[in-house]
Amino acid sequence: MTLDILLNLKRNSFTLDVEAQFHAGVTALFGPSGAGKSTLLHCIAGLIKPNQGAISLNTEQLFNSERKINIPPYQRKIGIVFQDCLLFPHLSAQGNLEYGQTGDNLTRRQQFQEIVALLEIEPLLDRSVDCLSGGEKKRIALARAILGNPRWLLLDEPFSGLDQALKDQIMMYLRRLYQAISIPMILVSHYPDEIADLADEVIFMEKGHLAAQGTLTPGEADGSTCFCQSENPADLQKIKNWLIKNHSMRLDVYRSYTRAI
Amino acid sequence: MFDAVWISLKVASVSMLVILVPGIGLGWLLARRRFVGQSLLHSLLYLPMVIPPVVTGYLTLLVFGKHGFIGRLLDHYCGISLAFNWTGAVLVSSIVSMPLLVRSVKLSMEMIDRRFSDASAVLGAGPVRTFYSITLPLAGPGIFAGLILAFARGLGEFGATVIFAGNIPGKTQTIALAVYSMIQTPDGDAAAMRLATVSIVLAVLAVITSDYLSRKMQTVGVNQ
Repeated sequence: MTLDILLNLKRNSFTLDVEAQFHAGVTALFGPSGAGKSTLLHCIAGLIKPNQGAISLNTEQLFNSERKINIPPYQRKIGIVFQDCLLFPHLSAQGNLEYGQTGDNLTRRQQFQEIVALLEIEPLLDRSVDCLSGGEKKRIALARAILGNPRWLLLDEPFSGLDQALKDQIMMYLRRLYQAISIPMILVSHYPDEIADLADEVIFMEKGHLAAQGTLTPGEADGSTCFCQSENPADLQKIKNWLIKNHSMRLDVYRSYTRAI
Repeated sequence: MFDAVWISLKVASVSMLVILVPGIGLGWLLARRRFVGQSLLHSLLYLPMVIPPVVTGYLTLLVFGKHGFIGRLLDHYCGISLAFNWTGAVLVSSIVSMPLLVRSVKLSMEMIDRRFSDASAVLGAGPVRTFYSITLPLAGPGIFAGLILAFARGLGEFGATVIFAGNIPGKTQTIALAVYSMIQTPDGDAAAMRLATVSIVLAVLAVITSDYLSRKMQTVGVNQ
């Protein structure tokens, strides 16, 4: 399963110019703020129309400027977990979960129960979304996106605004979810620990461009170390440099994360 | 007296129903879409709010009167005569109260985070389902507040109604017109005062309800 992207988008002084191929598994998209990570996700989901280019999922064209193809977001079956969740405030948690469900009653019920059990959100179902904590909202948003049966799941900084304990908890749920349903994901993140913990591939974006790409393999059995590989040594250096520059407080950890084989 | 109250309530209620769908549609259009002539449409819609009601009534008579462009067609093809009829009072009441509904719908829809529509779309909901399931319920309190204000405006309508529908007791004489007639007649003060009290009570109830719903709308906006 692959997601091929070749696109160009101009917005005022910002230009997004990306050519990338995403594979099944979890791909982490990281880089400085304003690099175009969220914009890229919105283009993939169909919420922003690029000026030029093509986006295809396997052989299906989702967008092609030359052939004037632009499948609307509600037909793409690409899910997003937004940074601020965007849970519908007039619906209960359960109402939010059921919103994107399709199929017959039995399948919907089974799927609903499976995801609810997996993310342990049963006690939250009757609550209004205003009465949910930050971590609970993230879990509901994650479950809602999954219950929409997407072919690819895009996670836009799903851990932002959470303290370390909650972040660990959501990461655990995300891992559990991925192990259970193996849906391909693109994860936008600023934090190497999230990336190292969840991703199989990393893509570093800078100023609207794809600057470096690598694959991650776990190092230690306890997950404290992982290795980044790339065909291009310059890519590794870019990834390492950015991590060290922007996260100097955790330099040791990053050194181990970005050690090239 | 009861006739006047009944006609007022009937005219205000029916005009509220008449403007419901176009008012929501126009409010949505002004809040969510950009198109050529938007400013012109905006100004035309709000015109009845700023021009004297008597002028609105006169213009309505020119267009919908027996010899007016549309009035003549309605009379000829459908046998409908709006002028000097309670349906005519509904028409002018709709024209003068429509801007209040459109304005309220527009404001409430502008307060809703547009990204809720994005969230709905990526969950597989098309534009129509998104409108009914997300936009409309979130704008609900604003729509109700606008409808109640429009209802109150319809209850108090005088100038346009007297020009287009006349002041016919039992047929087109609303509370406002009846009060006017009563104060013109000797010893009519007591009756006029009674009607004025009914009018005030109805208007205050409408404004309180509208205010409550507006506050509820703001709370939804803050929570978003």
